[in-house]
Amino acid sequence: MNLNLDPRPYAVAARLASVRRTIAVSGFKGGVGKSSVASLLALASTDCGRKTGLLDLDFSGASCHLILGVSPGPGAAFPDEIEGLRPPEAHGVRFMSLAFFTQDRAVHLRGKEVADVVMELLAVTNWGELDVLYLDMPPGISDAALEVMRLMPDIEVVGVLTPSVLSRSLAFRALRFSEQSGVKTAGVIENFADDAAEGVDTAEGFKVLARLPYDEGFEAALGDVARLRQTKPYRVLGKAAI
Amino acid sequence: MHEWALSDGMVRAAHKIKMERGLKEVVSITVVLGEVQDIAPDIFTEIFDEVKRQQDGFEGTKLVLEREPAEFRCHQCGEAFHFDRGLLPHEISENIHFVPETLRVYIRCPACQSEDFEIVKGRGIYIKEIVGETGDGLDADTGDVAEGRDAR
Ligand SMILES: [Zn+2]
Repeated sequence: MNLNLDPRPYAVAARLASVRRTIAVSGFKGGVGKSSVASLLALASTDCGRKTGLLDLDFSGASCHLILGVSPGPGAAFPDEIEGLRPPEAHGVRFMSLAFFTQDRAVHLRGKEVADVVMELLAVTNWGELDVLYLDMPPGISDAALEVMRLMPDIEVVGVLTPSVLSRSLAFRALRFSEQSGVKTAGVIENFADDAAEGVDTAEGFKVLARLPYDEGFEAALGDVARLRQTKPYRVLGKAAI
Repeated sequence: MHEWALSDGMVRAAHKIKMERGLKEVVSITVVLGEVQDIAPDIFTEIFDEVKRQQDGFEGTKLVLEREPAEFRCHQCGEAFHFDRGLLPHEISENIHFVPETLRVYIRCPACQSEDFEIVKGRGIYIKEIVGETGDGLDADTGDVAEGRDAR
């Protein structure tokens, strides 16, 4: 008789044992700026002295490395083999991405494979002691997102949305769904925010953690951390300390 | 080593089974190592001997390693195929070793060149069998006096 027992789920909890808080940055519609928000949150957190990690789990659109100006490839930053894989630091952020292993090439994965990669990265990444780990989540409520919630039941979801009615409606429905599945919501971050909504601190019962103004210089700052730190969204997030 | 984390997960999994079956000692663990992930048996054994000290009842545990050849099937044309790991450049081989699914970036279906294929066999590591002793000479599963062993 074959047990066919996968040892990786048993490794996940141990790898995350010294991580105090895990925040899953989720977006429920394309173009809301989920990866930018996740990267800026990690940068702002490390800049205010917290031990911070960032894990890019959005494999089909892996972009945190581009935002933070990390170029995977020969001779560049690569995880170290120390009791698993210790992520390299990007501007102080312990950063892990599938991009390190694909030489930055796109890899098109099916549902089960995505779940396998999520599990593999969670099982082998040696984060060490962290105050906070940010996850750039797979889009929406996909199989991959559900796998993350199953493996890491203590995550707190931060939903990224825009003023668009569609983005809000999808986000609120998804957040209510994940809350029904027992996953906590820390709140929402409104990206490309209108001034009109200033001062509103809840949205459909969810706490508004930050409202990020549109910054015309943001696109040009991608990949350049010194310039990212000058942008309006970074400054708001630096003060919000999420 | 990267294998340390997998070995650690393996001992934790074995510990859970040991508790479930009420075993006093784990005599052996049989682990299958897939060709795609390509974990070196000697390195894995060395790490296991270190990691097993974290838990009680594993002092004398023997590690039995089996190798599973890789087998792929193309989603586009149905072709079943294999690969020769030795032909891959070292760096690519390392990437696949860390995350087996990245194989899809580096090799293609030999019949139709598609990158959309499935790893049917030999992906990674799994526990095939755990043999233990209950200490009172009883098989943990059936209660039969079966050489004090519980294998399943
Ligand atoms: Zn084919």
